[in-house]
Amino acid sequence: MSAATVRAIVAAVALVAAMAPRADAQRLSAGAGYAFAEYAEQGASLRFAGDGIAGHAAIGWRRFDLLASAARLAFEPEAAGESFDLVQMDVRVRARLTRVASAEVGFLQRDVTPLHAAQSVGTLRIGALAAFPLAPGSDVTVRGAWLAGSAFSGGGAAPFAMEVGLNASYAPWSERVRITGDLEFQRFDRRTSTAGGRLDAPIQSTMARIGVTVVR
Amino acid sequence: MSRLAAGACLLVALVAPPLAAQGGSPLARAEAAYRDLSYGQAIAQARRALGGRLSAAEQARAWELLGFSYAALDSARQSTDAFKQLLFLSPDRELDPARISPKITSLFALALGQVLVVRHLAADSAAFVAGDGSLPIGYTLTRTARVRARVTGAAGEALVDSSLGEGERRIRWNGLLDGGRAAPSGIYRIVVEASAGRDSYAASLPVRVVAGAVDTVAHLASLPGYDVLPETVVPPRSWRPLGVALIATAATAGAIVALESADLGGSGRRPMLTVGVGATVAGVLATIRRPAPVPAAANIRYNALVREQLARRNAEIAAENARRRQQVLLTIAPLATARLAGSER
Repeated sequence: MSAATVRAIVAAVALVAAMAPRADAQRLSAGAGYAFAEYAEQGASLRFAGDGIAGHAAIGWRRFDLLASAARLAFEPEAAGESFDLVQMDVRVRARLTRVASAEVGFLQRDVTPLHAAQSVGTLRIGALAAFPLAPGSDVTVRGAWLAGSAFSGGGAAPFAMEVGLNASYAPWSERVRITGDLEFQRFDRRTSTAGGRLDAPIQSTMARIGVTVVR
Repeated sequence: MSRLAAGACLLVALVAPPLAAQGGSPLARAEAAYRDLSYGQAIAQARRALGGRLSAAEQARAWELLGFSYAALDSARQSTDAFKQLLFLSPDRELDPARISPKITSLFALALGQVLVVRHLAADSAAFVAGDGSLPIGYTLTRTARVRARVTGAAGEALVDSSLGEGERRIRWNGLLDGGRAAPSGIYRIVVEASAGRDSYAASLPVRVVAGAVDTVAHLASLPGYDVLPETVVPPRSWRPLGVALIATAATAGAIVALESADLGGSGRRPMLTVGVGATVAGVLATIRRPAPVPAAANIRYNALVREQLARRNAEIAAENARRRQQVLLTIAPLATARLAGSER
């Protein structure tokens, strides 16, 4: 997926969220920002750092929220390796269980270009999160998820894959406009089978998104 | 005898000076003759006066002089007959036992027991809602009789009482005419008709009725003693936002460190540090920021109850006003003394 495609998707989602007629008990939000990440694969020598753009949109109705986000980053190797571009798409459905706790399911699709510079991955996300209000329009959210059924472009499987996240938002002037920061740490214990036997090829990435979200 | 005459003279001197002053008329001559203890002359002049044209009051006075004079002459039957005629003309007439001879008052009482009249017909002034309140009416029957009391006027009439009775009686008119409608403004007459055998008597009393609208009740803007409370309160400043942000950041950082792969080494310090610091700053800002007002659940519930009670009370007032707009306030006042009509066969 090209950068133009990601920008178009982000813009379209934000536009739809902003223009959609609002029903009672309906929440809409959209935002965009700067993303930067660190990525490591197979061993300590194969480490990358990159940055790019990110966007997200969400629509909520009663106890449920549908969230979509996209990011496009360009990575450069810290030592060995080849530069690559990464496009990540996330879709989640979140259900509020209590005033604090919610559960979510969704999928993650991360595509890498060129194809063999790093691993593209698609996986299901099953997780939970706890949101704590700080002030009107401001909150901090901690989340964790199990990444199930991961499929990699280079083959193999990840019997253990986890995600941990932290999100903070602060509304300095109005509850409708919020400064947001989001952290997403993922670890895939990828294993592949070769002629010589089983090969461990773990993947670890940490992405931060800093931006502005408009809530309607 | 001399005491009786002296008492009668005294009475005449006290109660009838205007008539006595008209010295030329037969009635005046009868008064003068009675004062001079010339009872025969008094009787003759009184009868002569009754043969002429007299007002009702003069007729009553003439019959009274006849009653007194016959009593002075010990003619009990004739005295009683004269008092009966007096009572027909003036049923409310009373004799003062402190000033008049017991012989005369006893004959007067005897006449009172033999004649059928309605005495002391009176109504109080009253103001009431037609159908709810009532006008008190009182009268006295000298004998047991069938009584029919009604209120009549140009707009219609209403039967107030129909019964058998004697002595002092109290009845009430609720201000409604036949058909149940309130009496409109105007002059009405309270008529009490009594009949016993061949005797009958009727007395009436005019009253003025003024019909008006009943005052309505103003709607309430608030319940007295129950003020509406503020529905939001500003909570006190708290370190909780900072504490929550620090705990969340620490928990996330701890989880990431725990999950980091030993083979790949530590990675992602810069993103983690950036967002962690951001979350902590958000916590600090939320802590030092003036707390926003939060809904006061207890006050909201209390206000809802107060508003519910207010709405209920105003609904009751609206219903009461709707009822009052259908009502008529009657102000009734008697106009003059009763008029009389009777017969005795």
